[in-house]
Amino acid sequence: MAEGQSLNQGVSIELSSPAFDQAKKGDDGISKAYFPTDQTSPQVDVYSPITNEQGSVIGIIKSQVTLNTLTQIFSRLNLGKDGVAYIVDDEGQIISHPQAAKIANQHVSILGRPVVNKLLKGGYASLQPIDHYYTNESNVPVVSSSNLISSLKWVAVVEQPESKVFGQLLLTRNLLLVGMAIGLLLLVVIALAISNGLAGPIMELKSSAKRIQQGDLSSRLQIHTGDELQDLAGSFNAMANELQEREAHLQQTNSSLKLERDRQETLLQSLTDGVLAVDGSGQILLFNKAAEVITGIIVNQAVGRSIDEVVHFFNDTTLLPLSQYSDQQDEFKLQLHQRGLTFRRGRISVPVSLTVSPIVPQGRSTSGWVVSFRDMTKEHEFEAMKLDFVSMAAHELRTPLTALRGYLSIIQEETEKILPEPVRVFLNRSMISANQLASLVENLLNVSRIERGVLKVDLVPLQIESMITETLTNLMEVARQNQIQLTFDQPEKSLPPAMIDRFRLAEVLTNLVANGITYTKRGGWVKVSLQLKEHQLITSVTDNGEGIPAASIPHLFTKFYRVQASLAQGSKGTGLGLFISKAIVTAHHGTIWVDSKEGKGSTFSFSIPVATDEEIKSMGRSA
Amino acid sequence: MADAKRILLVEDDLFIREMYQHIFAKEGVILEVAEDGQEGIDLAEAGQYDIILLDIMLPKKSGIEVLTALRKPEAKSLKTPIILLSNLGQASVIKEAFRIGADGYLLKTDLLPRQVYEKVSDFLAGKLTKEDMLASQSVD
Repeated sequence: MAEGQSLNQGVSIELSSPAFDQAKKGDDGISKAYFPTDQTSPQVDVYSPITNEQGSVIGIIKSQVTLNTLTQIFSRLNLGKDGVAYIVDDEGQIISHPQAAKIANQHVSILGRPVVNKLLKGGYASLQPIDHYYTNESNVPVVSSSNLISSLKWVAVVEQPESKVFGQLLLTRNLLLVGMAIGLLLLVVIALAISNGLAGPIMELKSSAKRIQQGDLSSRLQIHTGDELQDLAGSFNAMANELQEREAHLQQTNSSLKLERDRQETLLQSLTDGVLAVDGSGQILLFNKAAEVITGIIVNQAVGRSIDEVVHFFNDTTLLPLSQYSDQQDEFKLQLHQRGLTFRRGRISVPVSLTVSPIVPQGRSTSGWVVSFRDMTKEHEFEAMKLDFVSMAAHELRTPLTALRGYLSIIQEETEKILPEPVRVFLNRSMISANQLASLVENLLNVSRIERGVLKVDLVPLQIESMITETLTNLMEVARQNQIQLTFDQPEKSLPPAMIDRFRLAEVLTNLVANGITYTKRGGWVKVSLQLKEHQLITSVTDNGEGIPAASIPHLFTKFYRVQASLAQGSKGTGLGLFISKAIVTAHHGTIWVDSKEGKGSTFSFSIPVATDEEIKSMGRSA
Repeated sequence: MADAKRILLVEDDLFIREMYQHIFAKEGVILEVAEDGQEGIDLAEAGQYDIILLDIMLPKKSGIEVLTALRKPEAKSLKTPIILLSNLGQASVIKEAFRIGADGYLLKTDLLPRQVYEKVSDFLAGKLTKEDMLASQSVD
């Protein structure tokens, strides 16, 4: 018996019904729900058998149960604000519903609803998803679910308005969208925060790295994020410091290298030897000024090209394959000095000597070659002219002296009228000194020849007279400047020729006359005379000068001996003139001597033998 | 040298070259110059000079070679007087120069620039002969 069910009292004859029949068989039977006329809510009859001890049915208790209670229970079911649960019997009548009006006495059958009829006929499995959606009797689209109470053939239905069910869903969806939007917003905010906190420093790092790449090594990072980025910035700055130091060191090294290179370059360019350097493959790396002068090839035409293409050195007619020398390794050094070695280019042919040296960096193999070559024109000329060392030296010493004296003379000439007195004197002294130097050079060279026994005289039969006349002509100006009267006492009749070297003998005479002028006071005289005595032609130079102390006379013809000169300021001799004169006279098979009295004057004489007929015949008369 | 004379100086030494150029220019004579033997030949053969002053120790071609080239029968300068102006005073060289056809041989060291000018000037004026144009001293 259901709790709280009231019992209708009264007695009646019970008609047979399936429920009653069931009770008679010993099982509880429950009737269909029905609506008693005096009741608003349906009720059911429950038949309960009464059995004896043997189990036979001896009576049946009939209870009438209203479904109010059930309705109340259903109405208490919490199905949200709008959800309802109700019960339908097998005829589609609502027998329990929270809203009393909906209950079956309204005679509304909802058997048409699939959730009811399909369930009744085929069980839950026969329901399709679509069956759960329909519009209910109140014209409200709903979602429902149902369950069969099989013993009563009732169907319990639960309905929720669709709007509520999906409203929740919509709400959820909207919530989700809003959530997503908020999420996105948050992401943006976080991204901004990250970009400020992480990307900012990284950008700074990047731009700093770029500045460093562009050469601004002073670029440093200021990152104080307190995290790995700061560590990174620290490392970066340390790297930049290191780079800056290395750069500074490098620059220092560079500038000292450059200085060294400039020095080397200057040295190289100032060499009179042509120098060119080639790399291992024979390509020209360097071509100095002298190389340009000797070859006539300018540096731009040479550098970067193959040595064999640019310069052609020949050994007689054979082309020297210069690039092949670079195949040679180690200590190989080639030196070619032989005659016939020439540089050729078009019509130009320059005699050269050649040196090829490897460039061997310390502890490494050959990295290139230096070819140096010298213009041998002059050397070959000297050689061709059979000139000895002294002749070469003479030439090389005379050239700068020529320029020195030449320019001094030009300065004297051009400034004569404008220079103040002391400066003019100084300039004159410079000139005198240059002349002395020139004279000393000539004399020293002669001494050298005399001592080596190579002083040569080229003897030809000549009238000494003409030599004297010519020499004195050249000395007249000097005599005039010193206010000395220079005269030649010509012999009355023509004298025979002697075998003489015209120039050498003129040098002797010049020496003697110059000495006479030097050691004679202004207003004095120097006389030259020539006489024939015992097949000797005697030339004498007499002056009325101060004379020579007797003690000096034995030393007069020795090297570097000089009598103290009290006159002719600046006309200091070299002490070599008489020594050389004696040597020259001796070479002419003659003698030289002096007669002198201190305070009276001196006479220097030299004798040259008269030429024999044989000598004259063999030599012929020379102009 | 009243009428403009064309003079070629073949001299490799810049100082000496300019020294002579200066002194000649003062007298109104422009010295044309060649700096080496080859240039000397080229200029001599290209121009009509009244006289050529020729050094001996020259790059590329020596003065003796230049002289030889200019004294070839086909040389245009065959008739142009050539005075050697050198510091080489060796008698054998002087002889050789005259043998080839030099018209004079002066030692630079013996003469101041003005004296060189005067000698050349007088020679051109016909006042000096070949013998006068011989070095007054030869010590080599």
